[in-house]
Amino acid sequence: MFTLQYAKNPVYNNEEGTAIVLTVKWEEFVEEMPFSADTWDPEPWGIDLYNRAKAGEFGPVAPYVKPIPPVINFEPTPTNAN
Amino acid sequence: MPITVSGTTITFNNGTTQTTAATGSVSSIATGNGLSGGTITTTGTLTIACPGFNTVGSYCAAIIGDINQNSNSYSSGGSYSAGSGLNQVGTYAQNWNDNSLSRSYNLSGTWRWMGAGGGPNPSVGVACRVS
Repeated sequence: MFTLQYAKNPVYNNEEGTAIVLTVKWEEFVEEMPFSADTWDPEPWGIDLYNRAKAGEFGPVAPYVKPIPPVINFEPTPTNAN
Repeated sequence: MPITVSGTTITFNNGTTQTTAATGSVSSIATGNGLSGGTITTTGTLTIACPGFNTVGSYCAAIIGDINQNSNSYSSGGSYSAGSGLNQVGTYAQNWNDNSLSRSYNLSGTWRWMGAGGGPNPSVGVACRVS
């Protein structure tokens, strides 16, 4: 069990809205860390954090940002011009 | 009545005194998440079992990074959230027949990357859940 000191910067972590990633600070750790709070977490503190984040306790939840596929530059294949 | 110290005697505000250093021990050890054998209050034997998938202390075959964005940057021992984005951790399995990788983003919480540091391409390795 972990004890939450604070959480901030909630952002939806998937399109379905069933996961929220936050920056959290637990009392048991020295440093802040990124944490994905979601609905399928087997750990009770993860579910609790998701419900609290969803309710807006840590501020408005920013929308999910879908990854953008990379732009691939197709260059002409060199030919042997003998 | 305040706490007083007289010579080698400490007198507490409820009237009790202490003349020697106290000795003590753990009174109760609870168990859970793969650790069984408790609760122990005197002596006993603990057994460590395999932790449940996606629980704190569990390991998984992990993929870090988003395969659509080759701009990850991760380090050995770094902490990363579960997910499918940049510098996030998911699980994977490798098909025996054609060596293809299947990925699942079914992890939660924070994971420590136990593989080599790297980037910008995604990598597969091992991760351990820390919180």
